[in-house]
Amino acid sequence: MQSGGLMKSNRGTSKTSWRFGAAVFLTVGIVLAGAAWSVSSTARDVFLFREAEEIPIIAGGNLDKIPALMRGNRPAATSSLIEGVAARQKPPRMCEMPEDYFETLDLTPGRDPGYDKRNAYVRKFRDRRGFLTAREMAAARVAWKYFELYTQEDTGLANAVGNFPSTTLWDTASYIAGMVSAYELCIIEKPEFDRRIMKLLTTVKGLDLFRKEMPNKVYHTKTGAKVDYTNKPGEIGFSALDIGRYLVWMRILKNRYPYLGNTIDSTLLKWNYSNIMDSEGVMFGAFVHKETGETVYAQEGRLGYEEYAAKGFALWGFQPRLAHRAEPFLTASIFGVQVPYDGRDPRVFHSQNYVVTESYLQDGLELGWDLPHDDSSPEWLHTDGWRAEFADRIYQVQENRWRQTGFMTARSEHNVKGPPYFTYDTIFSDGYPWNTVTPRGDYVPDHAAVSAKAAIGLWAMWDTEYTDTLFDAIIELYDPERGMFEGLYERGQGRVEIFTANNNGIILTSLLHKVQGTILTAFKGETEVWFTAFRDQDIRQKRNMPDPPTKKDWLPALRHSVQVEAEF
Amino acid sequence: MKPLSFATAALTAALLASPAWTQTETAASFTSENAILDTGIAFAIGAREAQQNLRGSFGWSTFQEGLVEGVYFRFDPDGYARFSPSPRLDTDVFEVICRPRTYTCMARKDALSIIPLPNGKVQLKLEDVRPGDGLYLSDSKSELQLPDRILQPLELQFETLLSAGGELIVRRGEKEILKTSLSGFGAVVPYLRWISARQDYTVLPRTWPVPNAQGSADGSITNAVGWASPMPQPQAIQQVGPGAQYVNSVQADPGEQVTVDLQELRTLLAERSNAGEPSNPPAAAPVAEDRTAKLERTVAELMAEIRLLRTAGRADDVPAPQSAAAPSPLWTDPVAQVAPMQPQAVADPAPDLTARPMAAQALPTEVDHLDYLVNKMGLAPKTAMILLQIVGTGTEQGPQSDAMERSYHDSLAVTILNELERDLARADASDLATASGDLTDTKKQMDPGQLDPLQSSATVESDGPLLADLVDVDSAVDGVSTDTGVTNENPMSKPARLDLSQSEYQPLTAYFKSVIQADP
Repeated sequence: MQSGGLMKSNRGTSKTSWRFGAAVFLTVGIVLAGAAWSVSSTARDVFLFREAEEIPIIAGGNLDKIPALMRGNRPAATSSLIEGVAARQKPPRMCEMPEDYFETLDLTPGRDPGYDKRNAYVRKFRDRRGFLTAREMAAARVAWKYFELYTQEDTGLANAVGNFPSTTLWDTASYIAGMVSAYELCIIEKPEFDRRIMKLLTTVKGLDLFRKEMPNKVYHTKTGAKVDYTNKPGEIGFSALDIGRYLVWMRILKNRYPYLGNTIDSTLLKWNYSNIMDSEGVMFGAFVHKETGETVYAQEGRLGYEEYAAKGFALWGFQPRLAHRAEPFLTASIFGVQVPYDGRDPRVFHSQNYVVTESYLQDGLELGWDLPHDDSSPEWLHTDGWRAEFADRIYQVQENRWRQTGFMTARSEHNVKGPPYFTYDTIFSDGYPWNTVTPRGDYVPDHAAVSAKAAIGLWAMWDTEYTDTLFDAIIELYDPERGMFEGLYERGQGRVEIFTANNNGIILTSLLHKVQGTILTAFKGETEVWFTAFRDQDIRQKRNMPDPPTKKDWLPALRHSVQVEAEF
Repeated sequence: MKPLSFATAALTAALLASPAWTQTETAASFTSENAILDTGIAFAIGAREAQQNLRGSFGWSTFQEGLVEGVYFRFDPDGYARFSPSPRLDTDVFEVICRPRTYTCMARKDALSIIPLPNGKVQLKLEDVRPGDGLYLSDSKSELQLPDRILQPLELQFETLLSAGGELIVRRGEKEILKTSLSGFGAVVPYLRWISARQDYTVLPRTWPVPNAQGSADGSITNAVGWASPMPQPQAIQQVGPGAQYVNSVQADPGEQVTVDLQELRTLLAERSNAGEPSNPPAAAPVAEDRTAKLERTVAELMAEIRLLRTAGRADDVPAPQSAAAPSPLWTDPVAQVAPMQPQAVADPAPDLTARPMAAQALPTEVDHLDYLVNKMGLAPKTAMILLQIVGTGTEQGPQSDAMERSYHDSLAVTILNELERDLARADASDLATASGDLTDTKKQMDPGQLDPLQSSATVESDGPLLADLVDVDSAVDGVSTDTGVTNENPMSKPARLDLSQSEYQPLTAYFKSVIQADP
């Protein structure tokens, strides 16, 4: 019995145990899951608990989506404003500098050459700084002679080339560069400067625009009438590159001489920017279709010039995001240097991808290879890093050529006497190194020359033995009554006996850079008419006029390390 | 050649002294007045007008580029051009520069300059070449010595030769002092002429790939000779360019064309005679020169036609024994020549002139042969002519129908000359006397207008010495004597054989030039 009872009991217990066990297991699991959920929820609430924070929206602050009517009052966001550091100061005129001025300047780089974490760049080269010597001052005075001789009294415009009465905004910017330099180098005084600049600005404001949009590519300097390339009344279109350079110098003028601000703003407010830049930040030029007569807009600018002009627009609040990027670009290995060039195929786009010194040089001289919003970094730090790094390559390949072949090299675009009248004397273009080509693409090696503006510019920005040689070759290359010659033929044909506003303007800028450093100074005002005007109308929208840039509108600081190489 | 040489030297000096040549102007060159070419008009098929991006404030916004005759080219509205076998236009470049605001241009490559002359020819100029230097044309395998006269106004055959390419070598003794590639020569010379002719396609060589502005329906690259160019058609055959004298030589009816030309010539002469007084001011000189040039072209065309027509009759002609006492005739009626040898033709009392064209159509004529050789086979006109002459001289005397056919062409030529003489006589007897000596005396002895064209040939052949030269030159051109043994009634006439290469067209040209330009 006992045995049978046990067995029953055991069978009964085993049946009960199986079911019981499953129920217990299920119950425990549910309990544990609930406990885990409860604990985790509690823990999350505990650990992630933050006191509810209400961020107040300050009127006019970044979070304040203020209506367009009020946006103009917002100050443009610059590095000094955002980061709360001191902005760069405008240096005194050379004649007002104390004798120990340069001894007090700290121009020593604070870190090793190369990119930093923010993609700013420190060059291994130094630029030249100091007072002008007698030779340099003589050259500056001669260069200014060009503008004294070839400025039209009636309009205040200066001829682009000698006594041929026509000019572009690019060359007009060169005239302004010459004027600023002459004033800062104490070649002229303020009354003369004011007379000239006011005459010029009022003429520019009154210019008849290309189809009521933007300034025509070319104007007659005697009449101020828009003309074609043969200097006959007509219209060609507009150039985004020319306008970009002009905007750079308008910003330089306005920041240096705030009393000119209203005049400058009123000039720029007259223009219509609706077609010169699209929403992606690509710049467009315009020309007239030969057969239909309609306006045709076409992307304008290649690596070097495009970024320089883009920064001109950015200085006025535009956002040329794509135009400011180097891509698409390739590199060509020349004398061991990876020379960057525009990757857009000339055979497809029918626009030459010439690599010359000038655009990198102007960016360095005038903008310090800094980003448009940067008004506070030290001179040795270039916040638009890749521009400075590319510029170093452009310099290095020319020095290497000199060392390996003996050819003094300072290549740029320049005019020549007689056909073909104008050449792109390039470091690289259309697939060839040291290619000297005409605008239509003819190879004209006989017109290869040491460009005077490139040589003096290289001398100013790269303090090396090689640029000393360039300086000696060029600094006395002038006609004392007419200005600096365009250059020195590479193949021994002598001087390029032609005088241009661009050449003399850039030479003066280079000499001014030696004295004052980066030409662009910080804006000292609060708001600008450029941003506040027409707020009560729809004109700003129709003309695509920008708002004051905020930090999110800043152009990015980039570096470029990936390259597709081509050996030459 | 001296006047031409002088003119060439003056032109060269003018070009060298021009602002563009000496590079004393820059921006001022880009004025609309300096645009002499429309870059929208294609120089050759496949060429395109392109726009260029200018960084500066002046320049030409358009240019034209293309490929022709194996060389790439680009030119600006001011005529400045580069021709090179390389698409970069960087090596072996012919460069063309024009004086501002003029159509005066010249081409140069190294020490070689090509200067177009007003008469449509070009002249070569080689620097540092002295008399006695040897000129050679090399194709890298063999050399051909060239005469010194290639440095004079370039004759067509030399132009053709140089256009084939190769290298021009100058040697002084054994020393080679100059070696210039001629690559592009065949394109540059037509370009220079094209500029001078204000972009008129008619001055381009016959084989030039002229684009059809209207579009070619069949998609062919080149156009047949009968293609109607969109450009104004030439009014006269011009003595420019290889084969250019045959431009539009293929007409529906050669006789009709000759008649038209005669009418034009008559009009010009009438105008000249009506002008009367010699009081034309100097300002009228260009008009007279134009007229002279036009007349010369017409005469040249006439000569071509005459020679063309006479070829048929001359090819089978068998020179008859010539009497020592009787000078050989200068112009003989083929019928009169053939008649003694062809009794059947004599027995035919009145050949039906109206039926002769039909006969000419029924049987292939020399014109047809020429047309076939040129148009179908693509031979150069001159080559075709030579071939015809070779074939003609090797052919036996044809049947009577051939003789009749040839006589028709020859009679047509006689008619042409008769009309020409009548017009000249009416135009200005004194001019003719001045120009051709005793021509007016001869004219008094006859009245060509009353003669049957066929019967008058014997009289015509006795016309003045200049015309005699003309006829004889024509004979010389063909290499066949027109002597037939028929008594020449004009004792003044005499046969003369002139050098073909130097004076193919000169006598008649000089004659009419003297008529037109002679002071009354």
